[in-house]
Amino acid sequence: MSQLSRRTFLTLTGGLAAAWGLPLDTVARALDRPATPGEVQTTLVGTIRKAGQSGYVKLVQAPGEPYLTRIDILGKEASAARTKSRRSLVYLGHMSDLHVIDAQSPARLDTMAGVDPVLFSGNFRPQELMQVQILTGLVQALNGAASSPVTGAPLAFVVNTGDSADQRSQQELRWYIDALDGGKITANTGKPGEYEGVQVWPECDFAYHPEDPSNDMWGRDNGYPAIPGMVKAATSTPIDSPGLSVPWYAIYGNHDANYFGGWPTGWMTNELALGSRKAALPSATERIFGSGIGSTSSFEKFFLGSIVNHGLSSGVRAVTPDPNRRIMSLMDFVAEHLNSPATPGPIGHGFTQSDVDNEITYWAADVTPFVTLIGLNTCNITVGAGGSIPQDQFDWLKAQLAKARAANKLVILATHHTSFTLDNVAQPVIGPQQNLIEAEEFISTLHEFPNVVAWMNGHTHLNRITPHVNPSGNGGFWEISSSSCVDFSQQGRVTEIVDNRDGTISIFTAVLDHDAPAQANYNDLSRTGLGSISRELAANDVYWDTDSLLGSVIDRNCELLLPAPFDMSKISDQTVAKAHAEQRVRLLATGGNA
Amino acid sequence: MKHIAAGATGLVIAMVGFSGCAYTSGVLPHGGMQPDIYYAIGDVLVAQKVPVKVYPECTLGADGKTQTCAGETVAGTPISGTGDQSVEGMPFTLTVDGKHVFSGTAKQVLAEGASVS
Repeated sequence: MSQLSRRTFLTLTGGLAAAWGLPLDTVARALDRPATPGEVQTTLVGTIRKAGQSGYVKLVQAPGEPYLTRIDILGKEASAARTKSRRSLVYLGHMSDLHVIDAQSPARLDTMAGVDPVLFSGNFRPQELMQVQILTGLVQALNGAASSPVTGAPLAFVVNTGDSADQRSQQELRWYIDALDGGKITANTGKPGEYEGVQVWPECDFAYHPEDPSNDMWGRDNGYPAIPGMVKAATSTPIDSPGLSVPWYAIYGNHDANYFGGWPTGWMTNELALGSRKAALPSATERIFGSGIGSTSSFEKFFLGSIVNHGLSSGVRAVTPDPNRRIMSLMDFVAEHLNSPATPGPIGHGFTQSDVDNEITYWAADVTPFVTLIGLNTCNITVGAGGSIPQDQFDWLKAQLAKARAANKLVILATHHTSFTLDNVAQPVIGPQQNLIEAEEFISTLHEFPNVVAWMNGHTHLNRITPHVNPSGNGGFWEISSSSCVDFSQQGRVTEIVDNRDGTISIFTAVLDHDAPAQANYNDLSRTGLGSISRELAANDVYWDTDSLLGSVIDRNCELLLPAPFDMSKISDQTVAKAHAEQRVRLLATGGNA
Repeated sequence: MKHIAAGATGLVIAMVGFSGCAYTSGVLPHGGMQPDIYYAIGDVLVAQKVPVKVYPECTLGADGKTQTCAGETVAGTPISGTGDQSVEGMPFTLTVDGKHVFSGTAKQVLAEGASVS
């Protein structure tokens, strides 16, 4: 804390110790210690790769990938001297596409995977029962990355860029929030202690049966192993998540806004979710839809009526109903985030009670005195998986960006959709319509605000880094897309914005694996053991292009340069030091050990 | 008739929605452009230690098959790639400053990158 005067240091130390209920000397020692690069288990240190290129393969530990310097926006070679005088501005975590799944819900139309396993690859995944375990593993990994691997700066916050609840289930939403806030979770619905679903129903050829996969298309056709006890362990063993040690922020993904990521919901889907009948065969699901078309009443009424009327004799099974499977409304998503403790916080995770009252689904947060994080809702609730930005939200965004620019604040944007997928302008047939902004106009507007330096997103389940060069030829911003937590590679990121004090900024971003070991041991059904198994099952999913999901080396661990958007000396060293001190003490109090 | 139309609309909506769950359609970047060739070019350039100023971005031709990728070296010379995403393995060629540096399939490059040698 050499940037602070002795008097300021003592005042700050006393204040922070009191605020967090920590001994004064403990806080003083922590703040007096110079920041050194953290020994963080990112993929800088070690990666996880396949042991072979054909057939069902195991995963193994592989060498790390160092930072690759990218100058696409800077347009010239970076100064070698930048490493000598740089200072960290903010260090954050990023997770996306968590896809927490209640696979036993009747509303999960897993049977569609039996119709076309490629087209409907999101309807059934062999590893889908273990998402809370994976999420907890990523929480642990991010907590372990509390000090930056570049500068040693403390982790300030984590942003989650959506698709948290796979099929808009209230239970999925609660599991995910509890995993990030901290808590004990048993990822089961319906009958206590028992799994009722396609992974134990022998007629479901499209599903992986861990007890004996020899008769399903995963084991029989693709070499998936028998893992006795996996289903029981995944759905019956309580998972103890420590919760993130830093504040976290959340936004909508299309799966949080639309049923199955693209379908508007009505009372029918909710009735289906709350019911006691679940389709087990693709033919049953097809018949259900067919009945709807031929109806002389509403589509929804006949959809529901047909699944009930078809009873148990036509590829439909009885399951134990569960009120927690309720399909959430659009605003339930915001409201549930407010049902959250003060630590790690913030309560609402970006959303506020005012947002609930006024039906606002986006927010801005001053995560430090010199960095604003803006979370948008790019989902189109009319229909479809792609996104766009409604005009009213776009106008609000421009006002926020102008405000941040006037205050010399850097801006990090968080959206679910990427620049490649902001292309959905579907309008409702009934009800109010408004202009929807697509990628080109969105990016063009962002270029008017050079203080926008980074855009974090997900959606495509791909690691990707895209430079957006300002058409003026000077500056731009970096778009950083993260892979999903459900499909291979099940990774998050840590990202740090650094002022090089030479008129340039570097954004260091590194991919992070969840905490399960690379090699799966089918006899280890602990939380981390299931994490390893899940990653291996995901890596072998023949219906996803798993090699490309990793992205290229230019999309993973990189130092991304760009010209400083304004005179960075306007952000004083003292302001930065104070922000880091507050973050460091918070980590000390929450066990983050920065 | 009105109700039948509503039902049919519902089915279309449902199918569009379902496809949104699949990586292969609804979330595929750039209206049908597969990312594999872009990724493979990045891996090849790094493996061959080409000093790059601008890593190639790819565009999909009107035929929906051909990808054309363009970037620039630190020295200001062009990096060019062409590939066909409709052919098994997605073959592509890569040149730097007019010199051929790679021919092969994107799938093979990515498979090697995702596995230990």
